[in-house]
Amino acid sequence: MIKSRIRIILLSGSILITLIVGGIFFINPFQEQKVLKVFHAGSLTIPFEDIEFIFEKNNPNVDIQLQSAGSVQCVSKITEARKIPDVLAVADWTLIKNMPLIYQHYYIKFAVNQMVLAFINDTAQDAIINKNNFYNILRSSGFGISNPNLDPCGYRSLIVLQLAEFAYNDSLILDNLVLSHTTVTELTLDGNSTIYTPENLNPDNFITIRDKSVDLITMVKEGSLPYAFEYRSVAVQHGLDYIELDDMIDLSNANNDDFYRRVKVVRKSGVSEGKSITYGITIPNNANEFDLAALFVEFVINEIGDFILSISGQPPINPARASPYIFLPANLKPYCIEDKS
Amino acid sequence: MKKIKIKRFLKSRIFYICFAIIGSILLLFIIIAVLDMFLKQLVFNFENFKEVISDPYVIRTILLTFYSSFFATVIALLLGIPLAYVIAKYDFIGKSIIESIINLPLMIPHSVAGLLIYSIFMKEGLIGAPLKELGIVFEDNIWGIIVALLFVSMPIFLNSAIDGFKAVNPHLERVAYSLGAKNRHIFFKIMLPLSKRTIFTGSVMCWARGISEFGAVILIAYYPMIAPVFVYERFNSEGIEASAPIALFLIIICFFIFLLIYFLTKKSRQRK
Repeated sequence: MIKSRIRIILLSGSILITLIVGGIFFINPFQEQKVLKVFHAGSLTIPFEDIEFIFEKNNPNVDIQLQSAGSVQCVSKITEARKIPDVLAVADWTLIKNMPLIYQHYYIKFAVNQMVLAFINDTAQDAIINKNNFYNILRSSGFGISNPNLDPCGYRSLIVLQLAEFAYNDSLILDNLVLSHTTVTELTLDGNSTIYTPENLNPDNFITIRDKSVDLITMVKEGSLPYAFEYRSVAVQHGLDYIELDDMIDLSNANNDDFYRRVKVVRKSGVSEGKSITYGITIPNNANEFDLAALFVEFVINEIGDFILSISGQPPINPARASPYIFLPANLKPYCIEDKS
Repeated sequence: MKKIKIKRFLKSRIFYICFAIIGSILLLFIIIAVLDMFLKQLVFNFENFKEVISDPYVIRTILLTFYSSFFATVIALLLGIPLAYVIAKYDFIGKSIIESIINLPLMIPHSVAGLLIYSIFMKEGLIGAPLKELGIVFEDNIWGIIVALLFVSMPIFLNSAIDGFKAVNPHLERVAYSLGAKNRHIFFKIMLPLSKRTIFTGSVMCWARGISEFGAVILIAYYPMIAPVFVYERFNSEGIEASAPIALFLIIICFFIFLLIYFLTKKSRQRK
């Protein structure tokens, strides 16, 4: 009788102790910690994790919570699901600009990215591949892209190949590399091209399609895939070799936007026009921690952020371009100039 | 003579052998899936595995997963035992409806469960709004994780506790009554001790169910990250190579915990 009572006391005691110890560790009501929520594009994960690390070192009472998603999803989480982050950073600044004004007053363009062709440097062919002959080499080797219906990197790869047709006066690049191996179709009218991507792409052995561009990385590393179209940042962060393409086709130069716009991709879920890959960041109007958010954005666009972004393969825009400049928080103004695009 | 024996042996067992072969397909399904990851991560890519799991953040997410599921289980235990007892012992109008309500969280998709939880516990929600005034926030908070886990895993505990109470021989209860025992004595001295094993297994299953939950949690509390959310996040942003070691680590820990619990309960079974 007494024995069983002791056992009950021991059992409930150990449950209670576990609850309390865990509570101190995870719930911690004693520590006043501010939380800063950041919604960001998936391709910013690695640089933002580094920035988070340094920021939290400098501000120990702040807990930064990074939430990565596709850029379009980041925005719809705010406008549709009414989740409120303190900072929003996306891979396409126009997404911010197009948000209703109740959510944002300004955007800051702070980094760029570009499409590259990633590979592992161990075949003889890699020595001779360059930005002028890559499409000829791909014709014999095969390559990988991510699914254009799911991943912006995928439809951007198609845009790159179509732009190559225009730039190199070879009207068969996309035809040979993609159209004849999948159900993707293309139509050129008045010098503008429209690419249609049906839901079932039905690729053959020549072209490898995966849901996300990072999925291709493992295949390239293992040698089962010779080349894959990737963002430069992804290739750098995963230690792959890559060739840079001509800036007329690699979607890196905002000055070429008129040329990029000649190609658009029609997907089931929407239409995407070719345009330069420029990252935008903003502090939503309804953010909880306004001052802290401004401090974080400063970290992204100051020298520290610039350095982290450049070693992550996302060249920073320096000084950052903001619009309208007058709405910027005071501490960000020195790092930005008015965006006139 | 010997031949006949073997023949007879085979004849008597052929049915079981066939069933075992058919059944092993299912078993292989699990084993191959786990073994594949095991080999890829531990044998061929051990450096990467070591690097990923030595990250303190990974350990923290796993501990948080265990803790919040434990917390939810304790709540289910405290509130669930009275409910299970009433359902097991008394007949009343609408009992079958209540039993279906209890099982509802098991039937609905987890994303739907998450949506239900989110809409009542969010800052403008029915429960979330008044509690926010008291300083308890559920969105992106451990409380959010706990309520989501409680919602999806309590039916498992309740069902097993109900079965446990039902399995106690009703004669014992009647004898106790006839000897003048009060209701609370019957509960604490007879029912609870006799069904403690099912209650314990129910709690473990409830806890395990909580660890595996993903869909309901991600809607209300992306942060602080529990292991399933973390695996998903890593997979989305950095691919298989970054997420598989965490997944495998979780599998290994869970496997050993359940092995341990199995032996603990086996011991108490033998003692009986």
